[in-house]
This record gives sequence, C-alpha cells and structure tokens, in this order.
Amino acid sequence: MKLGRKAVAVGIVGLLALTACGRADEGSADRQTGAATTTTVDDSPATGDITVWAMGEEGEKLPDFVKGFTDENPDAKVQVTTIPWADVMTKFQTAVAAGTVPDAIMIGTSFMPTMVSTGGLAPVPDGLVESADFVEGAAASTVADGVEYGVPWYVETRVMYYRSDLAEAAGVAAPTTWEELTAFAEAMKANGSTYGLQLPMGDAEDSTQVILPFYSQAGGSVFNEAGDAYDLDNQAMIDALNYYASFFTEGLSPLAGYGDTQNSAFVDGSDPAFISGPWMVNVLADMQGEDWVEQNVATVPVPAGTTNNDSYIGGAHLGVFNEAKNADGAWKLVRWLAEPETQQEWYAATNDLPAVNSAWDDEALTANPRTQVLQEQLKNTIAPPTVPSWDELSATIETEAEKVANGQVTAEDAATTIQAKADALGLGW
Amino acid sequence: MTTTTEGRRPRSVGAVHRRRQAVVAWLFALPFVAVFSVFMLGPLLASFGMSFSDLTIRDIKTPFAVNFVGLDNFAQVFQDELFRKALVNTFFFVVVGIPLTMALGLALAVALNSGIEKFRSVFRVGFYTPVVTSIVAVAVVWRFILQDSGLVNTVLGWVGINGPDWLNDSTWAMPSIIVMAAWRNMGTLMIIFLAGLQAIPRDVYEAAEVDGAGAWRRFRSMTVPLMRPTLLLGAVLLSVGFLQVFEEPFVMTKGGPVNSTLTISYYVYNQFGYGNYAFASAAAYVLFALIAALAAVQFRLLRSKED
Repeated sequence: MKLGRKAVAVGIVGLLALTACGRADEGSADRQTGAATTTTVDDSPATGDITVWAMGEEGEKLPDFVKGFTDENPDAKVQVTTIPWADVMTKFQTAVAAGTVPDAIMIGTSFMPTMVSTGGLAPVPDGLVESADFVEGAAASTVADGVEYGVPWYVETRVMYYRSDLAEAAGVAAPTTWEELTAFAEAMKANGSTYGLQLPMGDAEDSTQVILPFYSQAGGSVFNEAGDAYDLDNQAMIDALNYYASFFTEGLSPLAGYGDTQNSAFVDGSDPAFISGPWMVNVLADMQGEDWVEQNVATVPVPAGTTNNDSYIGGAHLGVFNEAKNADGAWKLVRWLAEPETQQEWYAATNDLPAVNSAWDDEALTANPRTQVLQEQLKNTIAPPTVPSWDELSATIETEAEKVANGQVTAEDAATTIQAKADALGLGW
Repeated sequence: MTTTTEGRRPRSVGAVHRRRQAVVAWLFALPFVAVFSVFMLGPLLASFGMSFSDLTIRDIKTPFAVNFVGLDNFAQVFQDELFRKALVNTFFFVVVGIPLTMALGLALAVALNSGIEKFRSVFRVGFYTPVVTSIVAVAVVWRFILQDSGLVNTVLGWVGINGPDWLNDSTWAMPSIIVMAAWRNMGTLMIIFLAGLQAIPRDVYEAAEVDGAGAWRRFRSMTVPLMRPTLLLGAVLLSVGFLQVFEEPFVMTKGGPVNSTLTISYYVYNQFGYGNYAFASAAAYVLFALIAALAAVQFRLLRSKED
C-alpha cells in the first residue's frame, strides 16, 4: 500500500544517481565547455534553432508570440517547451547535471539563486541590455553573487485589494500607514465582517511574501552593510513580527491563514481585504463578473511602515544556459523580448506587466487605473534575496512568525532564532 | 520480493535438472532484478554514499568532486531541533496510529467473520474502498469535514461541544491526521485479519462454546492467541508504512501548523527541496535504520511465537 510513495522517493534519489553516473562517464574536462560566458552579442540576425523552456501561461503564449522574432530573423527557428511550474526545478537540475539543457529558460524570480548555484546559467553578456532601463526591483533580482544572470521579462508586485462597498459602509478610506491599516481592519470587523484582513500563515502559504515587505517597511534590510551575511536580529524584525502577529492576536485575521476559502471570504464579505498580485483582478472577475469587480473592489498601494511602503516584487527573468548550443541566438531572442515595443505587445497578449520602464507609456497601461496603482507600487518594492539559502531560511522565518502569531514565543526570541538559523546557513554560495 | 526467486526452487532430484531450472528461474527473475537494480538498489547505494559527503545542489554538475565528511551529516541531523521535532511527531503518529488502526481492522474483521454473513462482500468492499481511493480526492473531503464549521464540529455542536479548528490547531492537527490515516489503512488490515480468522477452524469455537465460554472470553483466549502471527504481520506492515508517513500531512496540513505535523519523511522531502542532498540522504538513512530496527524486533517476535 505504501509502494507508491516509496517509489517516488526512490525515483528522486535514482534520478540523482543516474545523472551522477552520466557525468562520471563524460569526465571532468566537459565542465569547461561553458564557453558562452560574457561574449558580446552583435546586431546581426539570429540564426539556427533556439530552444526555450517556459512555464505556465507564458509557456503557452510564447510559441505564437515569437513569430514577431522569427519574422525579423528568418534564419532562426524558436522552439518553446512548456513546463509545469511544479516540475521546473527538477527538470532544470536534471538537465544541468546531464548536460541536456535547452538554450534559454524562463526563470521565476524566486528560483534565480538556486538555479545560479548549480552553475547552469551563463552571465548576461556585456552590453546586451542596460539594467537601468528595467524596473529597479526586477533588475536587482537578476544579480546573484555580484553577477547578472538574467534579463527581466515581466514583473508583478503585490498591492492591497479591499471591498470598497464595505469600506464605505464602515466609514474608512484606503489605509496608507500601518496604524491606518490596523484601524481599517478593525472598522471592517466592526462593520459586520468576521475578519478585517487576509494574511498568509506559515510555510504552506509563503508568509514571507508579506513578512519580508513588513520588515523592509520597518526599515530593515536583509543583509549587513558588507552584504556578506544576514542581519535579521534587529528592531525592524521585531517590529515586523509584532505587527504581523497583531492581526492574528487581535482577531483581525484568521489564524488558519488563507485556507481554502480565501476568495470566497472576500466575495461574501466575511474577510474583505487582502494583499496580492495583479492576477487577482481576473480571479475575482471569473467568480463574480467584471462589473462586480469594477464596482466593489478597490486597488491601492500597500500601507507604509516607518520607512517606506515596499511591497514584494516577483515575476520572471530570462536566462541562457552555460552549455547552450545556440547561446548567441538565445541572447538575441532574450534581447528582443526585453525591447519596449515587444514588452507592450506581450502585455497585450498576456497581461504580464512590462519589466522595462519605458514600455509603461503604452495607453493600454496608462488608461487602466489598476495598472497605474501597480506602476506606482513598482517604485517601492523589495525583491526576495538572491542567495541560495533564502529558500530554507524563509521557512524558518515563516515558522517563527507563526509561533509569534500563536503567542508561543515573543518577537524578540523569534528574531534571535531566525538569526541563529541564518548564521548556521550562511548565504549558501 | 525475494520470494520471486526462492519460490521457484526445484523439487525434483537430479543436479542437471536442478541447474536448468535455476537458469530458467533466473531468466524469469531477470526483468525484476534489472529494474530493481537500476531503480532501487543503485539509488539506495548512491544515496548511502552521498550521506557521507557534502553534496548539495551546487555540485550537481560535478557530483564526484565533493568532500568526504564522515558522520558529520548524521551528527547534524540529530542536532537539528526541527528533525527532533519531526522524530517526536512521527513517533506520536506511530504509537497512537498503529494500535488504533489495528483495533479498527480487527474489529471489522471479527464483525465480518462472525456477525455479518449476508452482505459480507459488500461490507468488505466498502471498508476496503479508502485504501484504493486517491488520497488527493480523499483529502479534499476530509478537509471539508474537519473545517472550523465542518461536519465534525457541526455534529459536536449538537451535543454542546465547541470543537477546535482541527487542522489549524497545533494540538489537534496530528490527532486528526492519525484518524484519517487509520481510516485509510484499516481496510488493508481487515483483509489480512479476515484471512487469518477464516483459517481458524470453526469446531474449535464450537467446542469452546459447549464448554460455556462467552464471546469475549472466546475472543481473548482463542482468537487473539491463534491470530498472533497474523496480528504481528499486520503490525510489521503497518509500522513500516506509518514510520514513513508523508502523504497525509502533505495533502492535509503541509506539515503545519507550527510544524506540528512535520514527519521524518516530510523533513527529508523538504531538505531535498532546499538542495541539501547529502544531508537529506543522511536523514533518510536515519529513518531507514529506525524502520529496519523496528521490523527486526517485530520479526523476532513473530518467529519465536511460530516455533
């Protein structure tokens, strides 16, 4: 009865073992073939086959979209393979270990440090793009260990959504500070809602995507000044943890976190506010219709702490493999995808927000008040740290924050525990 | 698994004949041996070797250019507070879950064997259904049942009990998972126990009944002793499975709240996810050692009673 599970576990180990064997046969000399590094990419048309891995909706839309590229570069052929988000890391690792990589890959921003640490990705060639052209937080999150490994493709950031009809009934306006957010949630609750604000809980719901911005809003920065170690046991962390926990201890947010009822609680008004990404507009419209969203859902920038109103920035970059067969063609495709006009067309095709600042002139974006809010929020963002150990450290932060919210430990002790874990892990390079 | 080869041991005399049979037997076993070697034995050995190295995701391009670190990983595993928590959680799951599941399985088997005669096969299929149902589908239903305002709390409300938010309460999450696991696995034990019960001759019971032994007395003094080998078999199978518990917390609670349902397998899974392959392998081998030790104890018990 338990064979299925065992087979999976053994399969994972097996995969590793098999790929390990593959490398052994090829010998170590093969490692040095990563010759695609930092060569310059000229302006001549791209040629040959270019293979790309992309995930989710982007992976589905990209095959048709690249016709614009192949029209300009008739000798190039782009082949896109769509991968489910859940399989990306496994496939990436297997490909790097076995040397069966494609040319380019879409990189979810949070995967960046892990992918870089495998040694599979090539640095961005000098002069390919100008990092100042990109949304600041996105450009920063392409840099790992001091080197640029990706070109921003599209961005998303988190903004606050709330039921404008209920807020009006409760007599509150959009909160702009921490104190106002608490008062806002209290007023919503007093108005008859069960809770005032939806917040994620624990590792399962990636609560660092909210806690990290709180920390930044309170004036904290993840690393010390030299940038060679975590610096998390400080007043900003204590403030962030206490602020996060206060919503739970005061009954303004359910201890269960989002749970299975996140969207329905928003729609039925029992939990009428949350902080999330641009995709939520479509999710809510699918549930209730666009008119309902238009009339009842407000989108505003996240409230500010003592220092700023930074919000989590995510999205995806594009990278090219060290062992890419057609690195030149792949970089040219990446460069094309990062051109302002292409970015605007891509927004039209997918609703993915442009990572290039100048692409935001597009009327489709400027005419939409919700995307305007997103653009404003993009000026103040905090990207997940691009170090390999962040993934593991964030699980500790999430658990410690959960303990504070449950009243099991104080924020001071939690901050100490987090720092101890951070010291034990190091940055992970 | 070894019975595949042993079962074909020739019964007739004659060395040549026997050798030919052995060759044929190995031919038949070859596909299994090949698959087993490539997908089980190889990885098992590889991860064993890995557990003494410092291999992480950074080394996947050069998996042999790693350092030998001896037992460092194992020492670290035991020093990790989270692992110790997972260890305690897993023991709690096993210590409470196994007796509960065994009791349910035995109760069902006894009921089907003696009381219910007419619709036996219907009930047998019914109670076995959880075993063959996809856990992902089952989890959705159980999550609804265990919700704050779900079926369990509604029923408890009728008798004036204000039930907790089962899966989001760090005290009640693990007990909830145990009940679900017991429900999922009792069918397997029921089938095993039912077979054991049916192997006990009827006339033994009839004789006891004539001597004036009541139902409970017959169960205590006859069924349980006669069933001992079967019960032990059930316990071995169950504890090997339960020590590796992963699916239930994965689909129900993701190891939360506050790691209260984090099990050893889940811990290993997380460590693999973080790219700490050597460390994860070491933790997996700690689990392996636990299972091997427990199984050895149980097999010893099983054998001594058979003699």
